[in-house]
Amino acid sequence: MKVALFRWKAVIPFGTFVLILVLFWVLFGNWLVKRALEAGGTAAARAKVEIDQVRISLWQSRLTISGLTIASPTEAFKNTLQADQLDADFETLPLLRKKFIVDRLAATGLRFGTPRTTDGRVTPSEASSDTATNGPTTPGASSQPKSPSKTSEAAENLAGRLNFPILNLATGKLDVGTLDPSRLSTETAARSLQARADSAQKAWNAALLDLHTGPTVDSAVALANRLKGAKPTDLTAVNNARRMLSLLSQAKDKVDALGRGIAAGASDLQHGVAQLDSAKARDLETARGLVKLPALDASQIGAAVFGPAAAGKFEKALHWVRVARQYAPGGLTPHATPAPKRVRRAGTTVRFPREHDLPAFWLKSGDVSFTLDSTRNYSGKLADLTTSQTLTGKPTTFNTQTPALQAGALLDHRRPQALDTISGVIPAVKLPDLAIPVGGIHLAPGAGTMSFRFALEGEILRAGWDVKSSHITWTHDSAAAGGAGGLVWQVVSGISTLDVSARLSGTPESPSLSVRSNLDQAISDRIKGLMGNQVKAAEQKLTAQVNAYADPLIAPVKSQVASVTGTAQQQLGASQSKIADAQKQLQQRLKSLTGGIRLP
Amino acid sequence: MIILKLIQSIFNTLHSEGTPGQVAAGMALGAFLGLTPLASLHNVFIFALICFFNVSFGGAMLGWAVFTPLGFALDPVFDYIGHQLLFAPGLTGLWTALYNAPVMPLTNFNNTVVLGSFVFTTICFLPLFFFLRWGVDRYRDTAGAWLKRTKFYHVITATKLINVYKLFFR
Repeated sequence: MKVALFRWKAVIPFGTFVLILVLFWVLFGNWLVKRALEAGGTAAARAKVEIDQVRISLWQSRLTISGLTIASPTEAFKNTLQADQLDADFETLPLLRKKFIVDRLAATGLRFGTPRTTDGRVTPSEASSDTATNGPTTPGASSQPKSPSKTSEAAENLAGRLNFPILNLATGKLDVGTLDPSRLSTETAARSLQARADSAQKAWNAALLDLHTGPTVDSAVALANRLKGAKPTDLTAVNNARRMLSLLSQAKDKVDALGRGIAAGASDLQHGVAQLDSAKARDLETARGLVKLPALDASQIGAAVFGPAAAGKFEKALHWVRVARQYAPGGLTPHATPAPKRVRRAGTTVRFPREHDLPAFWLKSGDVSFTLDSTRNYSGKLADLTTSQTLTGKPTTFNTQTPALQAGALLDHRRPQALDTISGVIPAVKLPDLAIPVGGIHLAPGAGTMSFRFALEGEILRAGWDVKSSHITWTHDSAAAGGAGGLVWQVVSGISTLDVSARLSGTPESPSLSVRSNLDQAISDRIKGLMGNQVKAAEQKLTAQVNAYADPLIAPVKSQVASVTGTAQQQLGASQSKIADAQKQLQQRLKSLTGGIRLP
Repeated sequence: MIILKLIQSIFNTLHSEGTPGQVAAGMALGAFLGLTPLASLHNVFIFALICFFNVSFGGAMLGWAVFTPLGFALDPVFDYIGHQLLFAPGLTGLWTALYNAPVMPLTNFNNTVVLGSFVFTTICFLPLFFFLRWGVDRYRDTAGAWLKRTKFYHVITATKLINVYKLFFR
């Protein structure tokens, strides 16, 4: 049976199918685009992106997004951004190449940091498929899964890598540990010195006995007596006297040599005594180390009180800069990003940019209207937001210059070392409330001046956050009544001005934060003043404990050293004295015998 | 109900007047719809082939139904294949040209799962076609004739939908 290859009558059902597709687009196209934008935005922002309504017209090349909400990726019940409406005029033909080129965007009613009722954070698996956790990769470079992307990692860890003294201060009380004798060094040093003194005593006694100077001295004295009746012509007597003098001289040399040895040994033992004192001093230091003080240094106070708030600002900026670098990498190498979540596995989508071609996304120009404190409207210009600055040849810029606000941003990913900067100065704005991380104290800065600047050049961070206000108010909950919270409350509640300056440097992997404020010295002085007596008493108690432990060990050893060296030197001195007397007597007899004439 | 429809579809297809080759071709094309992510542009083209080529439409629907769960199960394999292909340095030029060509990016070929499943199904298409043709042939020669005489078969196939199907695609 011959079967026809084509089924021409299928034109009707296929035409119907195409018609259904067109109808489906007409009816649900807006919904599809809304879902796609929400899924893509959530994957990119790593936070929920919600849209109230989307209207897209391919004929008019216009996209309107109403009620855009981008949740905060780090704060549970906060939004990063909300926008009333975004109107975009896009180019239609590039859509055939899946490139979305927006000639002009008008964004109105942007608000930042608004509250939300549900947690807007998403896990990597919620944002996209399980491959999403692998972050962007470069085809050809490696096909192995990469470590988690730097975006979320840095956002989660910047504050964690900054060691705020908050935890020490938060305890707010003196902590005195128990003195453990096994950690002290005096006993070991005392036993060692005692052993050395014992062995020195034995060695010196043996050496003094080995001298045998007594017989020589006695012989010399006896010879001197015999010479009293001798004649000058008795050459034998003269020679005997000379030999005896020589023997005395040798005995004296031996005694002197032993004297030098004893002196050196005594010096060594005295050094041991000094070391014993040092060991006790070390033990006192160890004991003082058991007194754990809260942060008292003024510079630490600043970091403890305002560090978390400052780190939060820098962390947000770092997160969005990382996102920008992830989705707008430099160069023209293929770039992989996790695909938006779908029913089936999402996989990874790879972009393959080509020279002199259009990027996948390019917002050429945008007018942005936004509010910062719900009272005033500001406007700014956004230009050249794209997925490939290498193709557009221009950095992404944002700029707003009004008397009430000067702000700007530059994302330059065209060069090997990407440079991302954000800066802004608001001379008079309602500053957000700050929770002081000590005893439930809250600070309402009211209206004031805030400036913020953030730069990430390559991986080098430079950032600053300054807040000034002259009408601040303080509130506290019951937890602030005691401990350091109570101390801080006593100090800050009387202060009506605020001047905070925070600086961030280093790298995202190894950041360094310094914070100073006008509250630092006041809080530090107050805590020192109130805790100084407690610290002194605790130190005295520990010193007494160390003295009670060390002094009974040190005193007998010191006494033994003094006794050993004294006895040895005394015995040595007696020997030296006897030899000298004998030498003197013999020399006088010899002189009187020879009449002072030196015989050959 | 879905199971019943599937059984009905299987019987209708295997016992249709279409040749084993038509049924097998339809099922093999339906495998594309099931194994690759459905909402992809290439599946419109596959659907057009199913409509315009004289293959068994019921076979295609059956293939789609049968291979869809298999597609979900094999997604990690497709992801791996697509990853290897898209990340192969030697193929970067080809992907770059396709990515910047009109329409091609709309197929989502630059997604690892889409490309991996498409390549996998394309490679398996001919072996699958010949295997299915042999299978339909064997079925009709053996169990098919006996089953057609049973009451169960008549109950299953007795529905108005069969008329709609026969109107266009028998």
